[in-house]
Amino acid sequence: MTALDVKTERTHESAMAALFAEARANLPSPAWLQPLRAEALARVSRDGLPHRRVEAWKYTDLRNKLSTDLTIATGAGTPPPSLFEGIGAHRIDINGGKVTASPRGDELPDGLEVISLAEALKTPAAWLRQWFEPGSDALQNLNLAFATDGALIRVGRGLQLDRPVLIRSTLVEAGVISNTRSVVYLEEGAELTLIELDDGATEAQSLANAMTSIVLEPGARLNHLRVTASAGAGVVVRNHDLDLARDAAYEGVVLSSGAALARQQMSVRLTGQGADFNLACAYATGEGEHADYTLEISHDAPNTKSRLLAKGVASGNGHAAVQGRVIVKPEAQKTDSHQMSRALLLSPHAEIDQKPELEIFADDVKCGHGAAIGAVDPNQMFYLRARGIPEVQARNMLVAAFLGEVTERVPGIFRSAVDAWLTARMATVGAAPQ
Amino acid sequence: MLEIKDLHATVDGKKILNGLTLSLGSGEVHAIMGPNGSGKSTLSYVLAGRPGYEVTSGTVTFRGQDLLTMKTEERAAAGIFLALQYPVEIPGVTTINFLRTALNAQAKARGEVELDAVSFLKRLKQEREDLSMSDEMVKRAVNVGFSGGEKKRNEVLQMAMLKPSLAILDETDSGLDIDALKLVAEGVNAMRAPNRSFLVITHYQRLLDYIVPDKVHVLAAGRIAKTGGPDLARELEAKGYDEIVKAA
Repeated sequence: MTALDVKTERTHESAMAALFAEARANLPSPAWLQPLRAEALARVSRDGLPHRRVEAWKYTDLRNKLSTDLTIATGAGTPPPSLFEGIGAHRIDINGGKVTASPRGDELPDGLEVISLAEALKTPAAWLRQWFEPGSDALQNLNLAFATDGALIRVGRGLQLDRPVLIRSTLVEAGVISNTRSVVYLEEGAELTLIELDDGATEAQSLANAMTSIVLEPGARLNHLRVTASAGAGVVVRNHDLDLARDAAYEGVVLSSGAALARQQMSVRLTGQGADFNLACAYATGEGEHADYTLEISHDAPNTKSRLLAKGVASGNGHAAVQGRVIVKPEAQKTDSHQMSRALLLSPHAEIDQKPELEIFADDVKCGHGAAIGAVDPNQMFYLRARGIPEVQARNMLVAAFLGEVTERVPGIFRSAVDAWLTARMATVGAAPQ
Repeated sequence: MLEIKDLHATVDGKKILNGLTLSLGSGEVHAIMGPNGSGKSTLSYVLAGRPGYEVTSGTVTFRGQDLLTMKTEERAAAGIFLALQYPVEIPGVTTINFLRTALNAQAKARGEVELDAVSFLKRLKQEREDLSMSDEMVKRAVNVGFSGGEKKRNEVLQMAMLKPSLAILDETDSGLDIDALKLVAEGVNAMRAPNRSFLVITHYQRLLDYIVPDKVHVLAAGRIAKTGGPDLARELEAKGYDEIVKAA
């Protein structure tokens, strides 16, 4: 390898370091946070941004999609109409890494607290420190170094909220990075429906990198819907870090379609007996799109349960990767875990990689996984067409039915908006070259 | 209505139809009988335009149009309906949605106005009640968890809703008990009309006691070996196909 190659390899990192040097004075930082940001950036420089020789990034070429000439998002530009316009929710809007709207204190029920990260960081806010430790993940470290804003949400003990909380993150600027960091904390027995929507046309290789830490105290229940509806040439990375205590329950749906590169990284720890994690993911990737779901679920306590269902389609030269790793710690006896990944390839040039992994260190567990890739059933296609339904429409119907196992879990009031979005997406994805 | 001339067709490179000629007039009901492997189902798939069924020579004209150049869905919109021998299960798509989408797609292809939701549901209720099908059945995913007889009834329901000019029934009687058979036959008979023709493919004479055909054709080795009236079906029931097959 020549010196020139080495230099090329480091360009992303040196660009980030230069950007950090330039921007750090303007980032919201109480005294305790400044060295943590510097350490996070140092780790990015030291370890580098992921490349495809890193196992967890084997199927997703981040560097190739990422520009080395990025500036920090300013919040310029007008967001497009929201997918969830008009649906009743406590709304937090983020544009270009800045919170632009959030509920006033007097609009919130007792026990529900919502504050922007930027606002919180104007105070010492030392209580936040536990969510700002540099780690080993390059994207999360990058996020910590540059985080500009985010939503901090706490639901008080035993509070069961009917009205969902909706965080919408938009990025419409070209050539920028946007890093937001949010915390969702449910106290004992609290219940919340949380919707996170990413949208906007992330133009010209922008990077929208968001991190949400979720803590469920004993008996808390979170109903979670995440939709990445971004379009355009940009990269969207979503990091989720979840802690489930005793008898806490997480029920989630994560959907992704339209971005040049959308990666959902989720790290889940089941730390209390009876914790229950149940996630369904769906993706539809068309020409020039890439979707990646990378999950790690760690069973740290006995009698914990996890379920993962991933379903998706790829057409044209679309690409998707689903990686699910389940770890069962020695003390996590009676773990019950299952993951299933099913995919439909709509074209010979599309690619879907599925990699389930199990690491079991306990001896009394029930763990399973399955994966299947196929094409649309020709018998079903003939049946629909023989009744007069044109080929593309018939295929889209079958794809929608295939993804239905996931989309039917979308919380009721969001269902028709999600269906309409997916139908519109399939009109594009389904029309990609076969 | 339908003119088939010297039709040859192959499936996976295997010759199945060998010079089949058949003329079906408007309002007529013809039965196609014949032993296993004689090409009955192949004929139905070739007419409906199933991918993989390759016509190597011959012509098929449907109401003056060259059927063989039309896509599967175009044939349906032009008025051809095939009731499948083995109706397909479609998880995640309800029968209501399936029927509505099909009706609207056909209307659109013909340049007609789509049926509004209220009229559609009213018609569906009437047709399914005539076939003793419950509301719950049409709200379920297409054919999923249906018994053999229920699947066949669902085919007849689709036919009643889509009102084709040519209905091809591929062994719609197989797997039916006598009550279901009568119900299905009544459904078909109710649809008999001067501008609608039927091609009834069957193994047994039993169905033809209820749907009385104008003509009976015996298919053997991929061509029509014998044609007669309803009596021919009874004769076959008594004597079997052997004689005709040998003659062919």
